[in-house]
Amino acid sequence: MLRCSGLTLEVPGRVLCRGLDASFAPGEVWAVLGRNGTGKSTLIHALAGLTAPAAGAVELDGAPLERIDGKSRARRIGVLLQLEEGTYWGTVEEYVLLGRFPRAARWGGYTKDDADAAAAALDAVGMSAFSGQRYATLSGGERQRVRIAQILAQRPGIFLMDEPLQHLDLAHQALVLALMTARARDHAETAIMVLHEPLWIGRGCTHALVFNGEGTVEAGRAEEMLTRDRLERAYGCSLYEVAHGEGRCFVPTV
Amino acid sequence: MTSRSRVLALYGVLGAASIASLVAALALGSFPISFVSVVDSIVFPAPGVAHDVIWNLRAPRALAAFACGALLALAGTLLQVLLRNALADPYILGVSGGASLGALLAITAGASAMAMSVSAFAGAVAAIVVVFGLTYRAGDWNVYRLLLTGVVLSAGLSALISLTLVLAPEAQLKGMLFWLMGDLSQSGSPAFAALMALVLAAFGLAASLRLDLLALGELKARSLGVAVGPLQIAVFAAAALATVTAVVLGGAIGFIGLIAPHAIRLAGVAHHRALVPLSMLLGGALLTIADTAARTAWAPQQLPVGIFTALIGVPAMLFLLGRQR
Repeated sequence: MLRCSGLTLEVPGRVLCRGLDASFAPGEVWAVLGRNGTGKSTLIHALAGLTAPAAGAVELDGAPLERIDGKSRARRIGVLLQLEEGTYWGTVEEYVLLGRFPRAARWGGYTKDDADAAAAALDAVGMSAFSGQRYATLSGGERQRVRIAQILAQRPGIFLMDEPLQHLDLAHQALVLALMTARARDHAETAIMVLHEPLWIGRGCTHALVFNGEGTVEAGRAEEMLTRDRLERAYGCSLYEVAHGEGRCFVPTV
Repeated sequence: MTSRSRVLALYGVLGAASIASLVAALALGSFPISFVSVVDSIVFPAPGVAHDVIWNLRAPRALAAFACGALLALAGTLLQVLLRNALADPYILGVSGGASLGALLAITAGASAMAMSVSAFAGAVAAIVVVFGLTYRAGDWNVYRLLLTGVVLSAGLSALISLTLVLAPEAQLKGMLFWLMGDLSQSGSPAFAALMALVLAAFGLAASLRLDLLALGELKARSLGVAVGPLQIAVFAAAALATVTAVVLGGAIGFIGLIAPHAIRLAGVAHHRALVPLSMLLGGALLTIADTAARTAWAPQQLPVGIFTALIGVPAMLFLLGRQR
């Protein structure tokens, strides 16, 4: 279980998050919401151990995150970054295989098991047909699905995903969200996802973490967090609520 | 073709090309020796003129060329992934500028070949220390700052090199130009460079999975469990060592470090476990062929090898680029 206590995040001149306490248990799907620049990505990085918080602590299964060595941490926590800076020259299959690095032997390279995990992950996002193609030739949405496949192949148990639905068409937004909620439910995994898409905010997630700006962050169960009032305050725009079956979604009034 | 069979095919082709280039380097020259005699001399060494020419004159130079080419290709591969820049070459961090200035000043002072090597070495190391010192901050080693610092320092050094060339006595100009374009005729013993090529190739292979991840960016590499800081320092040190060794032995030979890794990638191999050794074989073979051409094409006049690396490499690279979908 991933837990943060008294977590304070800062960028020069600004406090993004002050004294946040939250625990992210197996089976939970978290939506991280808030306006641009309020600190959602910074929180993802801090929970992943990629940036040190200004104060407070992040613990993984009771141990401080910074004490856990990189490879062990990567076997438990998978991170989908919002932006990837590098140019990747290899094929889709090779790209997904990189997610197996934390599980590869020091001198051995990747095995048949790794190749199987990569193939299964590509299949889960519907990208099997592209496995031999060069990664750089993919469209934005295809690339996003392959990047998700890479952390699926990693088999981390805890997924920290910064805007997993970006660039995806509606059908694939639904596929990815269904995939993550099913994994959480059926395999007791945890997904923490930064979401912007109004269609999905009220659906599938069991919990939400809302950045209100100026350092105030609220965390709780989805049904109490995802109210029109709260979201209107967080986004600073007026919303209307659409109910459909058991789900709801929030759409801005123009 | 699957990626595994493609890698094997490239090993076959480049392995054969490497052996062919070395045999050609032993056979061709102003004292003609047939390929059969070369093979004969390798298999059954017997004293004689051919034996002396092969083992005392041509073999050390062929080995020097091969090692230099392999080292430059390795340095290019490492720097392209460290700086995440496709245009990075071994000289982008000012190493050749420092070495060239050192060598030119030694020539101006009328120093011996040995002193020239020492001076080139000192210049290269000074450039590396300056670039590293100005850019390294523990915990935040910004590769863009590293890249820009290297490029800016190179520009400054090239101005000083031009100044040295302009002020130098005319008699020394030709030697200087040869050095600047790359010249293996003055190269001493290749043993150290060959050893270095093997050691650094082993480093490249040991780090190959990590290098693949580094290409995705620092954050992603860290999220997958790579200790990025130590890896970056090791890669920088290995690239610097490879470049310094090559430059001191053969002068500022251009083109190979930039092109060899790209040629392998264009042939469809991008993962470093294969990219590192294949680039080194290609770089070694290319420079050996170029050096053989440089000393035979205009015989008895020897030409700077840098001219031939470009003359052979440019059409080959343009062909590969044009073929790519």
